[in-house]
Amino acid sequence: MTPPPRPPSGGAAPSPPIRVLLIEDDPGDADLVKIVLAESANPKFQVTWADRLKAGLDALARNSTDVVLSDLGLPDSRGIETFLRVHAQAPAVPIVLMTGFDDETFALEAVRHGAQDYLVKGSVDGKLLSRVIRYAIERKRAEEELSRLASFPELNPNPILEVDLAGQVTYSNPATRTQFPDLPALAARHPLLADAPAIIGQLQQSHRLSSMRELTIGSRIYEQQFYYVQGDRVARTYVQDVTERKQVEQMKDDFVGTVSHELRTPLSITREGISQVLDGLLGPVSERQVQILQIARNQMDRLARIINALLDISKLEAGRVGLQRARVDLAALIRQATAGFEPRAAEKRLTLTVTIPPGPLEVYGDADKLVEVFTNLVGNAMKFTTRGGVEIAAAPAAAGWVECRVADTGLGIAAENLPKVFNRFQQFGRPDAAGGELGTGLGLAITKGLVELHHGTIRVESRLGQGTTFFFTLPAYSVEMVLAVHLKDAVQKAAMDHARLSVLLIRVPAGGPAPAAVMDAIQGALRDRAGRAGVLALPAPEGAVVLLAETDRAGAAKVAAQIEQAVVECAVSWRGATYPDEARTAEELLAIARAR
Amino acid sequence: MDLKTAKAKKTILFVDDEPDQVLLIQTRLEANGYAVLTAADGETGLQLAIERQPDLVIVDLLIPRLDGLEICRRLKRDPTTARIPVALFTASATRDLDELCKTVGFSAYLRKPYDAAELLAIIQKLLTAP
Repeated sequence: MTPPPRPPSGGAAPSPPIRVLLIEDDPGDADLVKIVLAESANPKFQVTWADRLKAGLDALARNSTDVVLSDLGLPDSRGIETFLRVHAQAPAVPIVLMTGFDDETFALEAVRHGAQDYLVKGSVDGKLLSRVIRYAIERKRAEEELSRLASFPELNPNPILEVDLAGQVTYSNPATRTQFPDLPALAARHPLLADAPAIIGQLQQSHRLSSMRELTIGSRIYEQQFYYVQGDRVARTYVQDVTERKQVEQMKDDFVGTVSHELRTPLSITREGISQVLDGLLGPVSERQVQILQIARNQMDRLARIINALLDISKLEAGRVGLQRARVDLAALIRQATAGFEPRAAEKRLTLTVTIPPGPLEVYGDADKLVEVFTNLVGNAMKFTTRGGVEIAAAPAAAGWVECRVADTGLGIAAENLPKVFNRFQQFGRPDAAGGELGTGLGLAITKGLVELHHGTIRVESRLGQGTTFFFTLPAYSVEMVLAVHLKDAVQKAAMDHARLSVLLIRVPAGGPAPAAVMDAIQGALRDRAGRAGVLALPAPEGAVVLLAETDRAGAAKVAAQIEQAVVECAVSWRGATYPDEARTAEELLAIARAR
Repeated sequence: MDLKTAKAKKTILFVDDEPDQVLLIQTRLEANGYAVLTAADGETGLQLAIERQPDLVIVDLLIPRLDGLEICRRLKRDPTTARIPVALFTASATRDLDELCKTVGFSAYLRKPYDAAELLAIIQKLLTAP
């Protein structure tokens, strides 16, 4: 379709010659063009001459041509017909027409039908002709590119509309017309346009980049996303039929609900029935019967754990697990989490070692969730170890992180299985028969989810027959890290909501008021925003950082002015950075606010 | 055991529409010296509680006619039954049960699957509470 790229004029290196097909029945006029073009050194022109339309069409079919220069009046074709036939033969090749004084109207009409330009014979000089040819080639290329881009919405199978501030449709693609044929008739009363001006108004004011709504039209469910285009003062809306996806989601939710509720009742009854026989409520039981019933009850308990783990993982995956973050004494937490394993370690004659450097080791996280992480990993290590022991270690690492390690001298994991360790329902190797909880196949997937919720990373190293070590990082407690963690949370949320986020760095000069007093003053200044989600003030080495969700630079400046007034003891200064306008990561936003 | 003497026998009303569950709870509680009343739906359960004045009511959350929440609310509203402790028995993992206890008036809750020792401990605690 598109002609090969070909620079219109060369710089240092001479560009390849421009291949011109000249269709002209008058040999004098043809010679004139050939002579004029031959004078041009850069670009060079390579002219093929045809004196009839038919010869021209043949040449077009045979040779690559960059541009056609054609007379409209030829012995075998006249007027606009000449252009139309050349154009039909090679729609991608730009055409410049040459006309006499008398048929300029034909030429104009041809331009309306797609000819690039026309020249009036007799007024042609070398420079003009060369320029007209080069422009024609360039313009044709730009047109092709535009029509290619226009085909994106035009050929998109999903409806796309552009709506102005009053809710009038200024563009709709063919998919809109086929899927919503009643749109023109219903206009503003159509569900797609209902409340459109209000939504666009909110987009303008809230500084969100887009907003999404769900619509039920007939028996189908649609998601409609609005993007406000500032300069054009319109919103583009993208509509997608999500009926099937919603049905699948509903089925998944129903399934989780069934798991949580319907499976527990029969499980509970079965377990209690086994227990009653086992407990001798219904008469004496033999040793062998006790053994079998205990196996059955252990498996019932395992099933209960799988059900709980499934619920946990589905909550984690749906982003419905929130952290109750606090300053956590990691050394104490590790000792507490591992103490529960000591009886089993003694029973299995395994060593259970905790290695923590002297001095405080504090992280910023959710204590309950961190206990779960250590319990999962240590429990796992114990299960697959029959000789040697398990070591739990934690120590400060680079850049404000703490690296934790749970290492065992157990079975190990084969190299080919290592990448699958954190997948759901992946269990490698059978645990030894001697006691211990039976696995769910979900523990490591949950562990990974919990570590990542803390913005840490987890990895595993293992050698078959020698043991396995899990390494993971947790944010060490420091003013800087608390800041980083909340900023990461805020950036993730803004990215998910397609919303803006502004960061204000408040600098308090040396000798200024105590940090607590500054924080109080800032909280006071933020009072009228209190209760608004996503407004958070945190101490920083420089003074404080304020996170403002759904706030642009202008909004952040207003808040900063209020803070400047509220801190009366000294003159504070401030710098801001806004997501996604200036940066897209937590680190960059903070760096920008600090660099200014 | 004192509890097994007829005089000291405490009466527990268990309301659940699952007959297998009812049989097992009844067996377990009777083996531990309690007298057990049962009902398979909420209305019958409520009526039985008012007429027989048990020492403890245990209700499943989802039962026909009146659900466990409604039974508890009505028992707490009625001055003749307001003093009877009500425990919630549920398979739900998603509801905030501590919150339900506070707002609706349950004295305790027990999640399914349960351990018999845990069930008996909760019952004993509720029956000896002042």
